[in-house]
Amino acid sequence: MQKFLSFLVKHNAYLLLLLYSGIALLLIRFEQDNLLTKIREWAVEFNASVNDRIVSYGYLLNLREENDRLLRVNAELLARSLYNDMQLRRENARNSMLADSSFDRSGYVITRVINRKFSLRENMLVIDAGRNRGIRPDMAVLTPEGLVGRVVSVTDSYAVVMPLIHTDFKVSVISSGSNALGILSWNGGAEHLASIEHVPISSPLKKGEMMLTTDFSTFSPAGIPVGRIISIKPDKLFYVIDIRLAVDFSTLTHVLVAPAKRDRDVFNLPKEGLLQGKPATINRLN
Amino acid sequence: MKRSLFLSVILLLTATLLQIFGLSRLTVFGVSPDLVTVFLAVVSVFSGQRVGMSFGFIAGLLADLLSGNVGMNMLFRTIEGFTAGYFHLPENSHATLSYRSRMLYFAIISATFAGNLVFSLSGDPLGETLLFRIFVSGGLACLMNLLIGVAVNRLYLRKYLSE
Repeated sequence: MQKFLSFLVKHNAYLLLLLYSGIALLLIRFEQDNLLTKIREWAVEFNASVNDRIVSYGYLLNLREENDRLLRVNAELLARSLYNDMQLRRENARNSMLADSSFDRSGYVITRVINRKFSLRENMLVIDAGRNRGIRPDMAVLTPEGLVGRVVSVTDSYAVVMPLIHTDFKVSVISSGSNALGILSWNGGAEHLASIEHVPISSPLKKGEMMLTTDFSTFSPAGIPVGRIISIKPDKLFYVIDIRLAVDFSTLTHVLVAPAKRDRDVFNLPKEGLLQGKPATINRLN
Repeated sequence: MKRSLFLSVILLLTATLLQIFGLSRLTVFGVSPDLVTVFLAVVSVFSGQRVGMSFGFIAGLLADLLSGNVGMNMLFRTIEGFTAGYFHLPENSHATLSYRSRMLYFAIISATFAGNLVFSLSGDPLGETLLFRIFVSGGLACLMNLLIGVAVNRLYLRKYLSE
């Protein structure tokens, strides 16, 4: 007993380290717990509201409202134009069944980016629209120039967006000219460059083609521009493709949140019974 | 004693709030200067490993509550306090001023490096390689925090270190 007590006294710094680290690891482990999720939501809400205020001081009092109104009108017009472009592209490229849109123009929400963190510790955007304005997780976020990211977490008044330039972000894309399919991902480096994977070397893809989102995405409407191909190099089976992203992430101030896709439910279908005797395999593409 | 503890806690809370809402926005190649790490290093050098760790734990808890990144800040701030505690100067130390300053700088560098190491191993939001995150980003973070440490030492801490 004496030995044990003297051991405790001698090594109490290590024991304290173990205790604190244990608590922290437990919290990380049970991150999805209801209480912790609520705490996290509260934290995002508080953090975002403080950042919202900090950003707001940057606006000059009289110019702010007028500027916001003009940006809203501008964004609305661009949203309409984007919608029309998309419909036109669909009509030309798809048959009438597929052209039945999963897109609803009236559902667009125009929001302001109130916090942007691009560091080794955090890489995300915070927008000033949340559940109260109909924002839900897995909605696509875009600008008239192209895709920005997807909503990953929502509070009553704010939402956290994982940008396209996050290593966990993936989206299926199609080329505008040759209809070659691939998966867009960002592997670090420059903010304006990304790469496309899984495009077989048999594809008639050309440099300069615009890449758009496809209908296979679980969150993004089809036809949103993502970027333009700037280099194609053949590898063993697939091309190594670099694209210049359509959106300039360093100057984002306002974004549009697209309505949730209606066909999301198809990805939640029960796995049995789709194919007789065989389990259905539905690959959930981002 | 109570007064200095109270003052330290107030300073810790202020540094954490400044870090979350101010300094974390200033990023250079994905790295931002960290006032809380510098503060933890100072506390650990003056008061030892256990106090440094406890302050780190509290700072991490506050940062977690404000940022929504539950648990992560607590873990790496505790480790920062623990690491910096190895450079603790006992109250009856007869070390010279330059030696004490050196200990403070070593504490800042080691705490920053340890904290960065924990973050580097936990995730990869910017797609850099592990070695890049540990050595290049970690080195840059050490340099930034060291600059803050030198400034704090020259402007404020020198008189306490020489006592």
